[in-house]
Amino acid sequence: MKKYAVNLKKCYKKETEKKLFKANIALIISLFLAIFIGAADISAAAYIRSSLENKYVSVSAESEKSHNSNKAYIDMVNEHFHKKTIEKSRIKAVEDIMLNQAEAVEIDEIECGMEQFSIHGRSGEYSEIMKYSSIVDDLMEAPGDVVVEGIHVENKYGYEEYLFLLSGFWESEDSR
Amino acid sequence: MSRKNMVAICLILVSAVYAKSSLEGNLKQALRIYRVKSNPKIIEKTTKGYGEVQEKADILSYKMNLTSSQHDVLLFLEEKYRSLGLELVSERHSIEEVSNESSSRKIAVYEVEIRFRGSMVQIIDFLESVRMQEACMGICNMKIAVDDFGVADCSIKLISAGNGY
Repeated sequence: MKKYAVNLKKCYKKETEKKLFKANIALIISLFLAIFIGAADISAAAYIRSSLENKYVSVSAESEKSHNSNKAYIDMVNEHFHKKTIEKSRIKAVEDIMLNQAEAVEIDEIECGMEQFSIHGRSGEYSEIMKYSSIVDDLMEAPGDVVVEGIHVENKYGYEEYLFLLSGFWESEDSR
Repeated sequence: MSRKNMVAICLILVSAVYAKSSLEGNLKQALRIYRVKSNPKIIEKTTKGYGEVQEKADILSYKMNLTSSQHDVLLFLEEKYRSLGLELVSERHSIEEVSNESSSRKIAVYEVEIRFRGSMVQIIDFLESVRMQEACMGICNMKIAVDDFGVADCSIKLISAGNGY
């Protein structure tokens, strides 16, 4: 009986030792696996970083950042300066009108804004107003858009004088 | 399950999670590089585009350096209308500092409402002298009234933008 018990004990010990050995092997393998995954990832990152420095790849985060900053700067100036100022060619057109004074027409007031311009003037002849209107039409950047908004007759020293108002819209940026 | 096995599983899980998160970023980078390398035209185009924007911003910055100080702008205007013989009636100034979230740069916008009297030719000369290509100075609106004696009363609203520091 005792002999059997000893044998059984031996068998059990052997079995548990075997199991313990297997568990240790599994632990070592899993440790290696974990180290391998980490190492593979670090080397992959290193490879990618080294190839990022390649001369082909100049589109780095840095240049993209400065590009965005440049774009924001241009937009800012555009919004606060260019959008608020009258285009140079339009100012030139107004200057031309100021210089180009028709003989029978007198200019009282010229107003020029971002979208619209208007001319107050006076003339002794009705037909001169139409002639002058077409002259302004030619000079302006908005051909065909100059309209005679109103004519008012005034008696001055016994003569009839026509006061007129011409106006026009500048062509919008999009339609050009 | 023994304690050792638990430790092993935890180790593998932690390394897998780490690898997943960092590999994802790395793979994205790698894909981008691959795309760029496989199509060099993209990179050429992008670099060219970036260069153009950079150049534009540099020119703008240079132009705005000339109008960076309000005093300089006002002295410039004063010199112009004085030398042309225009008679100043009134002047009104305002300054606005503008900054943008995505750009670290600031700009200063000066508004000058100026009113003076003179002949048409003098006013045209003045308009031409402030219409400078090399500076950020422009006209917002203007009104010219001529009286019976041919003297023009001109009021102009000028805007100039300069680099803010």
